[in-house]
Amino acid sequence: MSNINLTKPEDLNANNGGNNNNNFNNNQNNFAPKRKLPNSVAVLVLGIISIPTCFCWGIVGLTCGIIALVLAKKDMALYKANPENFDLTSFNNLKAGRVCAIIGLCLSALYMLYVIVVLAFVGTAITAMPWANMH
Amino acid sequence: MLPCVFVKYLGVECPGCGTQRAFSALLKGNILDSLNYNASVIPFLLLLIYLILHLIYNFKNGPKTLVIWFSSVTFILISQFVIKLILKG
Repeated sequence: MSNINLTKPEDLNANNGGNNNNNFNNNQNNFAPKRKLPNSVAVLVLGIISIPTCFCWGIVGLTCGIIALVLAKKDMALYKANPENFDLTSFNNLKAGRVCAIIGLCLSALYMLYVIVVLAFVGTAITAMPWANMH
Repeated sequence: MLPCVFVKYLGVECPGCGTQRAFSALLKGNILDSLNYNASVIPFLLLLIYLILHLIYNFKNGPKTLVIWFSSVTFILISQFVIKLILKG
């Protein structure tokens, strides 16, 4: 029994001839180790880093969040093109990083907006003061 | 240490204020002081450690835990800000 089973796929390949290449490709898809998404780790780290730095004038958190979101978008497209080629755990990492990046981006954007508004108000207040008339 | 626009022009501490003081207090070993300056530093450092461990060992529920932990850190930051505002004003 076992001998027959072992020889069967080889026989099929030999018989098909022209479809040999196709079969080989299928085998590779089934048994090759699944690749990790290239930027999943970077997205996760950047997304988590974006929260403590978001209050430091909002600049660092904003850049971190934007970079993470762009990388996440690229990798999402890669994964959706052929999901069976990639590792599911790395995709979960990617999703988690994306959520973190969105939260950090929102907070730092709000903070930066606030900093800009405050600076504008204070600047106009200082320049509009009648310094020349003060003694 | 970096100055904060919030404190300079409003006299109110922003959610991220005190992280540097809290970190230096933590380095000296005063956990209570660091919690008092900014309560989110210790959870965030734990989050970073968990992140590194997750990247090495690939925990099963790692991503979910990270997201929940992350959102709780942001919740601590914002609630701390609101509490400080209420106590001051």
